[in-house]
Amino acid sequence: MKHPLSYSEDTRLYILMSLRCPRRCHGISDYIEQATGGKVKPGAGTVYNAVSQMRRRNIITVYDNRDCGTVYELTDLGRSILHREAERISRLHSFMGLES
Amino acid sequence: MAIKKYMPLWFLDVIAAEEKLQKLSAEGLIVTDFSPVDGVLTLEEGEKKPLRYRICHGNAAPRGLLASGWRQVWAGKKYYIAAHDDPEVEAVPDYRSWKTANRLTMMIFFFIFCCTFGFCIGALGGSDGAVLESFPPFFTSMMILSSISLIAMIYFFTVNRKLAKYNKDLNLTGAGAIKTIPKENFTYTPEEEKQMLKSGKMIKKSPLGWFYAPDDAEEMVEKMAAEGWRFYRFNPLGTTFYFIKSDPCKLRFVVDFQNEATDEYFTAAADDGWKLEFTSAMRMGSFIVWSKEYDEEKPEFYSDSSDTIKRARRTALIMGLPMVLFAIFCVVFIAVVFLVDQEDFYEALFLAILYFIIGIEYSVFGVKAIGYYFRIKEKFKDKF
Repeated sequence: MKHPLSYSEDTRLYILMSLRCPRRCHGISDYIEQATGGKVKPGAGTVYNAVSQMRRRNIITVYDNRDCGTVYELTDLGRSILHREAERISRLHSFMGLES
Repeated sequence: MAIKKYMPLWFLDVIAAEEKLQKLSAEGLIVTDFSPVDGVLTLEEGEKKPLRYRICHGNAAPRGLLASGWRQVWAGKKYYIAAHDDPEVEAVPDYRSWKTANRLTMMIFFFIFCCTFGFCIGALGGSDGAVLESFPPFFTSMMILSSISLIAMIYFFTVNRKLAKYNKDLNLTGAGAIKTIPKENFTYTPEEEKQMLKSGKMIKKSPLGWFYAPDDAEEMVEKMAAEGWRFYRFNPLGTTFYFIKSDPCKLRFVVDFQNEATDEYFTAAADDGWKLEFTSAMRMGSFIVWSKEYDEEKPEFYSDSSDTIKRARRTALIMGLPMVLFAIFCVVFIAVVFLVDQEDFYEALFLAILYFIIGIEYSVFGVKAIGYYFRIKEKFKDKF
């Protein structure tokens, strides 16, 4: 069964994960689908909205916009947010006695 | 030794500014610093070689651009300047952001022109020249302002024509464009369409005010596709749906509402396999309709429920709320018509009936759009 992905923060985190390497919106969606074993496949509109919002907040930046599709990557702020999130999830795992 | 040069109002014609930088580099003057507010350039003497310059929006040159032979010569909070050793190199990134910025400025001037010109016409015609006689300096300044706005509009229009030559054609319909349906959606000639309509192979439906309840329209088109009537195209106004007889298929039909639909938005959706069916040419908010055929799993344009709710809220606020306000205005108007002592009762009655009908129409559309928002909110209320 597909993950409902009704919680915006999930999408934001997946997008941050995917943008460790420069990617287009479609590439982001494909990466997330692959990384979650097909359980999560964000729609084009959701990815576009999230990317626009994160760009405004300087979490991600344009890597290349020479062609029609803009390529994005993480900024330093984005990297630190991703790092912080990874630590938080790892702590949560430890707290619950799960292997990280 | 640093040399200062002035380039006032450079942002009015960015191509001319870039050409000036190229000319300076050919004379051996290389840009080291720039002040965008007053247009002061700081230059240093160097090799006499023409360089290709680009002044772009953004706080730094993208890394991808730097990897392709461009280098950043200056970066500020809103703009950066990049240079390339080959003076004939393609202008990248293109001038789309400047075109958008110019279009906004043009709209501001258009608004000023409408207000001032309207005032001038009103003052001349409506008040038998009373305003003209009472406040001549005010009237003159309004005339001057409207003339300046008109000249500015023409100027920005020509600059945008110049910028458009450098911009790549996306072959998609961006915000503010006049086209509403992509050309490739018309697979039949008008004569063939007429024939098909006559023979019953094509049907059309015009649900009244479907923009106000897009979820109903989505459901209708998907149901028709399942019954063997595949959606073919819209009419240019987007009010009529054309369907053609086909094998039953699974079709996802999505009506999106964007405050500002950028080229990036269109590319992202097209890359994901969505077919553009319609885009409204409204500048403040656009309806964009997408479709996608599928086999097993129904694709979602918005997989995140918060995005779907936001879209419904936008539709309700921009489409529904003004309608409700117009309806309230109609009620107030009817009340005024009857409260104020009228000389002709039948004329007042006629006006009241007219406004009652208009008020009913507005309120139906307004309630429809607001109802759409609450329906969507209710649908996702159990999802955390």
